[in-house]
Amino acid sequence: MNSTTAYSNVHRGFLQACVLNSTLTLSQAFKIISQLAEKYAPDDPAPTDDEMDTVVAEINAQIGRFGQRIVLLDFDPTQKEYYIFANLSDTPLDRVQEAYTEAEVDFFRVVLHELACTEHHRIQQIACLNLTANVVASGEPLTKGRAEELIDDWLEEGYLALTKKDIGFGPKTMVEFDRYLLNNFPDHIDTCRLCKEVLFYGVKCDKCSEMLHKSCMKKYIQRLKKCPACNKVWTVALE
Amino acid sequence: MPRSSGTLSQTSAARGGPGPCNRAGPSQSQPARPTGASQKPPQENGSSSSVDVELDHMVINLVKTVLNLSVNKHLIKKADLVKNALGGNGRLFAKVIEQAKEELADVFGYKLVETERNKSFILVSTVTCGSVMDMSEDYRRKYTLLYLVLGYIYMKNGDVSEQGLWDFLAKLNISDEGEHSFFGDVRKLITETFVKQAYLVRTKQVVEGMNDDRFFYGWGARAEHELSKKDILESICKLMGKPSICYITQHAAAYGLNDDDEGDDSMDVTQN
Repeated sequence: MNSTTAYSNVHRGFLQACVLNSTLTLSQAFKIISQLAEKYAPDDPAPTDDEMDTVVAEINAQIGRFGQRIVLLDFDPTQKEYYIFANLSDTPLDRVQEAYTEAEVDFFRVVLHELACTEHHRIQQIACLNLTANVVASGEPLTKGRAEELIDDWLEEGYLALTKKDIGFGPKTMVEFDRYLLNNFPDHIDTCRLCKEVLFYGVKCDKCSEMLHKSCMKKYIQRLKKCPACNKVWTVALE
Repeated sequence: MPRSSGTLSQTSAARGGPGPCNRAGPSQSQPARPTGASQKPPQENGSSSSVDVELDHMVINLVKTVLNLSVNKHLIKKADLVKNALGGNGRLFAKVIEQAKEELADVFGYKLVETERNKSFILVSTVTCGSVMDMSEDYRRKYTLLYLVLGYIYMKNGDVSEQGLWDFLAKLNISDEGEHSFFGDVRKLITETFVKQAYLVRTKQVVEGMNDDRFFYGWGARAEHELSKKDILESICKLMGKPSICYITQHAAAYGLNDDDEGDDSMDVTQN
C-alpha cells in the first residue's frame, strides 16, 4: 500500500474500527487494514507491518484537534502490543454521554481507586463486584448483575485486564488515566526510573525492590547487567 | 440461518469512557498533539480571525458531542447538540453543523443523517469495516435477529403488523415471550431496542372495528442507510430456499429495475 497517498477510506475504515473496538491487537489491526486496502486501494501492493504505523500517524494528524489519538502500547502482562483509541481531553463536554448512568460512571471510579490503592494493583473479581457498595451516585443503585456486565465490557474495551484471574489495569486505562492516577494517588502509584512513565506493571529487583518496566529493563540490560537503582547484578528473569 | 456477508456498519463513537471525578486538568503533560489542519494563518484583520477560531472551536465541540451521543446508536437530538456544543446558541446551528458534517465525513467516514426534519439525527458509516464475522458474539446475534425482521418486512413490501411479525418468528421457533436461548429478550429487542436505534419504525394505527390499537413495523432510517436491500433479499431467499427472482417485486426493488407490476406479489413468503 502506498502510504504516502492522501487520506483515504483505508484511514477512515481503520479509524472507525479503532473507535468501535477501543483496543486492538496488532494482528487484529493488520487484518483490518489489509481488508480495507483490498477494498479501497486494490491497485496498490498489500500493506506491510511498518506501513500500519504510517497510517496511524496520518490518522492521528487528523484527530488530534478532537483530543483523540491512536496509541500503540506495549502491555507487559500479555507481552503484546495494542492499538488503543484514546480520548485524551477531559472537559465537561467530553463527559457528555448517554451510554452509562451516573452510578455506572461512579462504579468505574471506585474500581480504579481500589486498584490504585491495592498492593500490586490487582483485585479478585469477587472483590470487584462487592465494590458496588461504595458507589455514591444518585439514581438507580447498581446491581451485582449489572456490575458484572460492566466489568465484562471494560475488559473487552481494554479499561481493565485479567491477570491470573484477577482484575488489573487494562491498556486503555494506562493511556487515558495515567496522569489522573499519578496525581491522585502519589503514595501508591510510581513511575519507572528509566522512562519516567507511570508504572502499572513491572519487574522487581530482588535486591532492592525497585520496580521497573520489563521492556525498559530489557533495553537497559543490553548495556549494563545491573539494577539501575542499587547497581547490584540483575538476576531476575526478563523473557 | 442465513449468514449475510453484507455491509454492516456499526458506528460507535469515541468512548471517552466513564471519567472519574477528579481527572487531572489540561496541564497534564501528554505527548504533544499535532495542531489541527484547519488552523488558519494569522490574518491582517484581527477580528475576523477570532471569529474563525470561535467557529472552529464550536465545530470541534459539535463533532465531539455527536460522536459521544452516537455510542448507543440512539437518535441524536438537535436540542442536546445545541445545549452541549453550542452553549444553547441555536442560531449558529445551521452554520456549524455544515462544517461538522464535513469533518465527520472527511476524517471519520461518518454521515450525519437527519431523521426528523430539524429535530434528530443518526450517525451512519460510509465505509465498511469488515464482515459480520468480525463482530462480537453479542452483536452477531442481535444482527441475525434484525436481519430476519427486516427481511420479513421487506418481503411484505415494507409494512407489517406486529402480530404478523410474531407469527413469522414463531414459525422459526422464536417466541415473543421470555428469553430466547440465542437471541435473548426478543420482545425488547424488536419493540424497544431496534426502534430506539432507528433500525425499525413502529407506528400505531387505529384499526376500524378493533378496540385496541395495532402496531405496524417498517424499515427505519438506519436500516435504509446501513444495510443493502440486495443482501437482505438474498438472506431471506436462502432461508426460503428459492432464488430471488421468484419474488418479482422485491427483486426489482433490490436490483433497481423498473417495476411496473405493483400487484405481482403473489409469492407470499408466509405460505412456504
